[in-house]
Amino acid sequence: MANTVKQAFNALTPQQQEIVRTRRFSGARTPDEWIALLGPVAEYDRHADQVRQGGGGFFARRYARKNDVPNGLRTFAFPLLAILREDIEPGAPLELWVDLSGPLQSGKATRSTPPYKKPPYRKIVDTFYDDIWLQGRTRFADGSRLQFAVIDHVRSTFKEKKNPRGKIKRKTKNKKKTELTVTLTASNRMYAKTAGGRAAPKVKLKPADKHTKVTLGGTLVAPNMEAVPQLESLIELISGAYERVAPARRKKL
Amino acid sequence: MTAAFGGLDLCSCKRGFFTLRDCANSAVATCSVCSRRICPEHITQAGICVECAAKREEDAALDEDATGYAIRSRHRWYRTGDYSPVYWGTGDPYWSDTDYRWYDDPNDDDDGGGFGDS
Ligand SMILES: [Zn+2]
Ligand SMILES: [Zn+2]
Repeated sequence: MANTVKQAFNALTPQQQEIVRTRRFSGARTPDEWIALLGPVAEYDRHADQVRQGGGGFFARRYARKNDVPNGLRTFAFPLLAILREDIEPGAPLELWVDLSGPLQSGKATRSTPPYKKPPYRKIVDTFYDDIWLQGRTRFADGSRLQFAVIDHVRSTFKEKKNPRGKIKRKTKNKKKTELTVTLTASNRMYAKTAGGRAAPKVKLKPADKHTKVTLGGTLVAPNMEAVPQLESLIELISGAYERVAPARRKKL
Repeated sequence: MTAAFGGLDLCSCKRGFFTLRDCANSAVATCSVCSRRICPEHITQAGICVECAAKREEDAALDEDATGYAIRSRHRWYRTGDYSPVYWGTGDPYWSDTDYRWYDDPNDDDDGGGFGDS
């Protein structure tokens, strides 16, 4: 049976292969340029996921497991490009920082509790990780600026106990929450702040001379470590930000 | 509203997701559903515009590219997400069933029309 996953990987450009390997990329490109770069990577991942779930031979499945692209790209970052492309000022870049290499790395650990006891465990340590896996910044055709970030917060609990036969048992349990935050900086030439707008767990409105800065955020409990929030969660926050400003003039863009 | 603005034959579809504005592309075809003039990016293989395709939930016509995906998502979001976009485009009765937001001041016409000229 042909290893179709390896064939698909080899068909990628060196830059796209690098993204699959490192699961990291960043830069400033137009949405069309991002789509041209990441479209084949998302397509490769779609194929690899199918094979991994039993759609291919043994070697293809193993290759697909080793060369996986986390779903944050295919189900979140990539479709987001098409949405943002609609509003981004023609020719303006979208700056992106993407890191899908996972939260459980020493560089992403923020703190650990001192070891504590809680029977039957003789030692427990909680370690907290912050993983900003998607960050973006761009300018819209209406003169607004948009910033957004998706951050996984993980609590990893290491537990150790001695069973009645004196054998030491250790286990680690991870819990993840995903924080989404959006800041819309709307120009006062175009917009004025207005009352109302859908509710969000965190809302900040900062009017200034030249613009109104609206920040919305919220945190979702993830059902498992691999879970990626629905793209609608971010769209909801951007919508909520726009609902806090109203057009202040009659103009055709 | 079928008269071309300033003699130019421009596309009648709207660009944008959170805010809507006119598409600046030249029209090359006429949508067989709404009869508006449409550019290559906003016309589908089926000969209808992406906005009509989204309204009729003809996903097959829309799935292929970024524009089709965005317009389908936009149409759904305005309904299921209860979102009213800000409207910065030329007035078009095509949008009369959408609850959009625009600056509603009869004394102000700093842009020489665009609204209410239909
Ligand atoms: Zn149409
Ligand atoms: Zn068009």
